[in-house]
Amino acid sequence: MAELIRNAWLGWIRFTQDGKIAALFLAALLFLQMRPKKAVKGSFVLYAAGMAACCMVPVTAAALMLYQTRFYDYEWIWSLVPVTAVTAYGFAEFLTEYWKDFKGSLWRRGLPVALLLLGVLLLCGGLGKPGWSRWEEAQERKQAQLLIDGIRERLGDGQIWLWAPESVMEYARELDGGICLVYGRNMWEPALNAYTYDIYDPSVTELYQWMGQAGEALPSGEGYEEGCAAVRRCAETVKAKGVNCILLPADAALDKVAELEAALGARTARLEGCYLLIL
Amino acid sequence: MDVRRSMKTGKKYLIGDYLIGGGFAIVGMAEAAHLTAVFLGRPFSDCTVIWLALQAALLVAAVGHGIVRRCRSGMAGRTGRHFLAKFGIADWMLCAVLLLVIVSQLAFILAAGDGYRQGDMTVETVNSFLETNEVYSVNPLTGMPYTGGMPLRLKILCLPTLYGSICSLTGLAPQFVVWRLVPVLTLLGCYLAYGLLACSLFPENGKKRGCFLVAVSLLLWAENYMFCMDGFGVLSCGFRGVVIRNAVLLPWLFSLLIRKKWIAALPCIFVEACMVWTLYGLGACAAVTAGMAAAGFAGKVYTAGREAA
Repeated sequence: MAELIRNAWLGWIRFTQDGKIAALFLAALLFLQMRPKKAVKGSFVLYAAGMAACCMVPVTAAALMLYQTRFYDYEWIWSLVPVTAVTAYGFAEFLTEYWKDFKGSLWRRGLPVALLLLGVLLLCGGLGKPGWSRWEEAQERKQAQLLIDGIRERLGDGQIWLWAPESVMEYARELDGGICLVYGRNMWEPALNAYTYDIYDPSVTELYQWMGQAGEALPSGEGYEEGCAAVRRCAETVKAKGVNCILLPADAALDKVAELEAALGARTARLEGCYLLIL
Repeated sequence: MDVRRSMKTGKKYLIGDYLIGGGFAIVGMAEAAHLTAVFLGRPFSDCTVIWLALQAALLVAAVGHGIVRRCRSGMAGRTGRHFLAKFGIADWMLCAVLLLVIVSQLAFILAAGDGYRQGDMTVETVNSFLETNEVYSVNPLTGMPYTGGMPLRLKILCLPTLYGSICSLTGLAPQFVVWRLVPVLTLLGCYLAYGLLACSLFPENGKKRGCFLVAVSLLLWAENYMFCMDGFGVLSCGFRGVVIRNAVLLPWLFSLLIRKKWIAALPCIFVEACMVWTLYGLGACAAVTAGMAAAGFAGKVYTAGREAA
């Protein structure tokens, strides 16, 4: 329970640090509460105030987090609070208080208030600036598409069992449902593990780690043998898992590529700068 | 829209109620088809056929219901021209601003490309269904058969089947359906739901309704900065069950509850359970219904106490 309460407190900090919509919502709520009771939908405003209080107090927030199941983070308990609706409700009431029926004759008083509200909104939110880089992701997907098209061209319509860098595996199943992967996105995105009870063998995890370090040359001296043994272990796993297509990144260390070629008895070809091994 | 009369009688549902209700009935049909596949082991193509057949039945029932209602209430409905005749310059201005913002948001969804996919595997799941013609026979993230399986509570959620059925019926790519078509429908559903909420909050003031909707539209833009915010959900991942719940289902539910249509909350609770991982069906809709009932009761007790004093 203490952990849950701590998560609730950290969640509240996360929720309020990026934008200030929560502050805007509370201001709207305060304004609506101060309005004459007959002028507002009392039960709606009362509900919003009560639920917002429950989301802010760590103990009740922890109880709400248990209610919404542990599948979702703290931020999602705010789904229970009509933040957008109450804020817009407050806006509409506030603006029409100063600009009755939007009459043209009252624009001198109403227009500045409307602009002020717009300004407050601009300052409190991110206004169209998404929280992640769409462009970067689109570029990565485009690159992955090129590589997958190249592999498909070489292997035809047959089944593809792929082992590739994270940047390709990330999009492979999205771009082509016919491709099977030795491990999926849940390897580096733990939230996705909630969708399955399957867990990866340590040998598969080793494949992921090895691919992540494919750009580093085999160590010299004492570590060299261990490095070669790791390559051979990966080759064994790949064979055992039925992988028939391996893609190594363009910056893969040449000695590792050669070692893998030798362990699998296959020849590499170049595809968009990457190393491709068809087994 | 005969909002005021409907509010006063408290009996009538508005056209928007029927549209959103119809949309969620389609989700309910998808759930029936999905459960058939999950528990009876039917192929995915059968799901699509079952979903289509159920929709045809729903359409016939809806048309029949509409005809009966029309016959009962008489043909004298208010025309759109009559409604528009009451529009003043301010109303047109509000409409224009609202339309402009909605168009900009539609353009953003259609042009910006791919949706926010962190922690989500909808496209992979739809791809798996279409590729294998089976429901959850393989792990969507790898394409390999499950070894440990997946949680039943997630397995029974129907949105991937709904999206997959749309793909197989229309021939559209899963990426297009999931990242563009469905978010566009969610955005439109969102405005419809907030429109109904506006009708509930301001039954007698069209200008306030317009102002409320403009504020909602601007807020959706402003909220596009954080994963759990309504604006981010609608503009960046409108295909997720939680987003459809937050942006469409909950505003509609608030609108129904303000109009004291308590029975209508039951289908909302059911629809949420079909789309979102809830606590044995007890999700946000059930909590909101209970909370609104408690708030209404507390308000009455407070008013009665003040009057007695």
